[in-house]
Amino acid sequence: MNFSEVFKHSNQLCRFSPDGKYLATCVQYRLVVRDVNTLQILHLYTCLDQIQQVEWSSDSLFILCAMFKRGLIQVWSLEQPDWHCKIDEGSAGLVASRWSPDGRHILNTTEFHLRVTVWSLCTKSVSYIKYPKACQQGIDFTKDGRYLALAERRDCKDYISIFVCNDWQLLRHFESETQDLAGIEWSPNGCVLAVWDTCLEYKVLLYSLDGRLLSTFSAYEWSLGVKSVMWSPSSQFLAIGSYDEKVRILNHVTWKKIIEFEHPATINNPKIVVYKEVEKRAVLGNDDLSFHHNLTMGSSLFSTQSKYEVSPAPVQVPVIKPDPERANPKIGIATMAFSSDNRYLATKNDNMPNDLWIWDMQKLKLFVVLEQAAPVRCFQWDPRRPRLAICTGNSKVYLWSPAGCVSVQVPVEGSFQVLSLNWHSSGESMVLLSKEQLCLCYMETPEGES
Amino acid sequence: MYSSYTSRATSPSMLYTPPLLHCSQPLSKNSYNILNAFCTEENVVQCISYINQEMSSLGIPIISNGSNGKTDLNLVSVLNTIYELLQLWRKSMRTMEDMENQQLKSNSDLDHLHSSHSKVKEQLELCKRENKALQERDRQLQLKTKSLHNCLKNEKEEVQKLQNIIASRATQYNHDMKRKEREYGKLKERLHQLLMDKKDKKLAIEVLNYVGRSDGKRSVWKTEKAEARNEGEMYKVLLSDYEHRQKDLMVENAELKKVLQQMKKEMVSILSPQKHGMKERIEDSLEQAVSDDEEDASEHGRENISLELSCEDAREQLTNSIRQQWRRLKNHMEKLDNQASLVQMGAQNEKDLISRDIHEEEIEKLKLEIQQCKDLITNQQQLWQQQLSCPCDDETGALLRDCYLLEEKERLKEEWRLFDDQRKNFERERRNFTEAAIRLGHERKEFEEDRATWLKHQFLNITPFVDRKKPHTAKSHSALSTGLDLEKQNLHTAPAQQNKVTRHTSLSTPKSSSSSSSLKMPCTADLYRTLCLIPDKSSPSTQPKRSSLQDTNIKLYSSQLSTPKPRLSITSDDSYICSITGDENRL
Repeated sequence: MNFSEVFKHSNQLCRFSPDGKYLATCVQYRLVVRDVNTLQILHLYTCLDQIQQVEWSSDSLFILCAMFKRGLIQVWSLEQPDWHCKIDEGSAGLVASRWSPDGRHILNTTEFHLRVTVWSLCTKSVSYIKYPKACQQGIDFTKDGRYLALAERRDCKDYISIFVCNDWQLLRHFESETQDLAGIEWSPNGCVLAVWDTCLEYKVLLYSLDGRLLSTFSAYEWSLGVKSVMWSPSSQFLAIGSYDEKVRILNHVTWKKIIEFEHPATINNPKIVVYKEVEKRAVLGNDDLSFHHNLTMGSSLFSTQSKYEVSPAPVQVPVIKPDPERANPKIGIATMAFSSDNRYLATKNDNMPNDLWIWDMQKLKLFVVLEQAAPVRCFQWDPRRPRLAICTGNSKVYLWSPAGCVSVQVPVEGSFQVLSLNWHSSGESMVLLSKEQLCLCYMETPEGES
Repeated sequence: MYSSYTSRATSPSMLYTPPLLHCSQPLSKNSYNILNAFCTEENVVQCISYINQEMSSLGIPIISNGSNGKTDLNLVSVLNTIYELLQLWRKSMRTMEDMENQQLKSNSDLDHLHSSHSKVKEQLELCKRENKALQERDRQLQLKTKSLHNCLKNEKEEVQKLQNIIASRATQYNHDMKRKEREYGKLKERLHQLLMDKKDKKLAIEVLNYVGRSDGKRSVWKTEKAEARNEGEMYKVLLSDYEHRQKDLMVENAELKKVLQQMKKEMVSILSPQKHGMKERIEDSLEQAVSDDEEDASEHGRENISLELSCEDAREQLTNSIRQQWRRLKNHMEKLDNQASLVQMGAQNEKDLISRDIHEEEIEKLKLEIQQCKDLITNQQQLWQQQLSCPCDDETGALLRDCYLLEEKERLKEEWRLFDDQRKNFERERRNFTEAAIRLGHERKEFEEDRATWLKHQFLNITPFVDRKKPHTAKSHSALSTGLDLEKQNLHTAPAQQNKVTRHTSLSTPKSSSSSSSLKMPCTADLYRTLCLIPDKSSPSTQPKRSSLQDTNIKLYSSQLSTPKPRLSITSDDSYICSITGDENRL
């Protein structure tokens, strides 16, 4: 495993281009585009204000930089460095901005979710979509970029509009059977839309592309319900994480529950491997940072070392008791992620912040539990392999694969606390972000795999 | 009597007796009976009449019939009356006793009843009290339940109220929410309108030059056609998705069918050979199996088609055939199970039991053998160990074994010793005898010489006078002659006797050599011979006595006894043995 030198960034804004050739980073009001391989600066763009959001167009030709404070968007072209575009939302304000899948339109959400403005870079035309719903996830494009689903709220009722992205024509508009819609998400094949209700009610609705209600699922009543929903890449499973610390998996044929994944505080099954991160103070001449892989890397003398140990069968998972007085209690499954090959599901229970649960989706069983020394900040699957990268806000990055897991010290002078990470689309490298710095981490591709 | 008398205060005797007599009561004790007597000389008549009256009232025949006041008492009737009265009195006494007993009994019964009554009363009291307590408790509980009911009612009401409140609040909240949301919407609308109306100058897009579409096409007008196309595309997408899914399902189905077919085939292949086996055994299933096989054959062809068909008919066929197969397999399995159980049972009943018995016997035998062998081994081991630990043990064992022999030896030794003593005595005697014999021989020689001389004298002096004297001498000689005869006889029988003696000696004393005895025996013969001669000379006084008691051979005895000097030391034992030997010799 190799690491690049450290670069500056601000606001955690650092994106790989979709084609994997470039890396865009924002430093205050400057946008830096680097070549991924050489890390040389290819372009340097200067925006009008501090950049708050950056996003690549799908064809990797344009980058939009959003400055919400000013209600401004600036778009830069990689092909024509002197080309520029500036969109001002004016007095309507701006809270979110994104590319349409074709990379020629920009969808801006104005303040108060007053409307969604669709700007075209081709025709300079502008169109509005009224009554967008202010919710967890109100806008979703299909993976193929053909359709846009938008949650709307009018007359105290939830509606869903499906647009054709090609010409922004409204394809379907229907009322959803929700009290207070919380989010929508397309299945990866773009044919089924999962709609879930507010956390006050456990209700998941599945709509077909043509607006038919396919199925409704409700696990229980009278208690806080759905916290997160995630499709498997094959569209075969729909994972629903809820406040009762369980993940329910629905199948795509009958839309019935296949299995329930519990997150118990004690793991009794000896077949489940529990990797526990054990921290210890650095000792001179240490070279066994890796547990399973023999990785060569420099070590910083003054940081703590850690390694994974396999805990014997009855394992007590540290649990935080949530405060019942406060809204949005820290309990339940808020984040889930399927591996790219559909084989594994990684979940995190919010009242067990140090633990990451990895489930085998073929056997539909708990496979591995990773117990970190610190709360898990971010985890992401390798887009190519069943490999999970984890960071916990310290100077290490953790990797899990079915072969085992390893903790890697980021060999950077000074402190480099990894707050988040992003895989390159090739799965050969990832970018690690600390508060103000970033560095690239290159995986050693095993021979024969590439 | 006195008490009864006094108790009869109204008795007529009181009336008839003069008060003076009454006054003179304490005058003298002697006159007391006379004075106080019921009947006196003077009032006999009254007494009789009174008694008569009384008697008649009692229903007893009156004492006298004389109503004229004469005192002619019929003694018999009086006695009868007295007897009757006594009877009456006894009867009354008895009845009184009975009554008294009864009264006592009834008294005790009464007491008992009283006590039990009081007890029962107490119990009743207790029960009453308990009842009261229970009633009280019941009442209290009822009160409690009532209060609880009230509480519950109140609570229910409260709950209802609260629910109502919640519901009303919820509706109010929802209403407010809706109102606010509507307001919010209106505001949004208004804002939007304002923004639109205002012609926000800021709201703009500055683009250096327009960018071509990513797909290179130009944008199209929004027309009906476009809409229709969009719809069509959507359906296309959906269709493609469904087709894709269908294909997947088809593939899955095909695979499952394949698996089913394979399963079926395997089932058939598994079932058929056993069926053949079963045909032999169970004839009932024969026909069915055959028909099934035929069906199978016909179905095989069809199923190959049905695999391709993938329509409902095919599915039905497949499922039907599979079901059939499955049923058959199940039946077969059941049969097998039954057979297995039957076979097991049979084996247990027939063969196994017997064989088991045999086995058990064998095992028992073997066990026994093993046990024996083990015992043997242990014994051997023990012996070995004993030998190793103390080698003397063997000797002790031998000793133990010899113990019995020892005893016998001891006995034999004793006997031997006895025998030795006897022999010694014997030899001593013999020596004595020989000495005596030698002496006798000498004496005899002298005697012979004397006789010769005497015979010479006689022969020389033959006279008739001498002839008369002869019987006397002959008489005296007769005694001698008998002795001589005896001697002679003895001498003649000597060899026979010798043999006998040797035989005897050999029996009684095995150790004594026959040669010595044979050597010595002639001496004894000599001894006897001499002995026979001795008594005549030595002790004629004792001879008659002995002779009267015993016959000639006892003479020998007496001679022995009479043998003067050497015989003195001889003990009775010796004599006894001698006598035995003498007897034996005699025999």
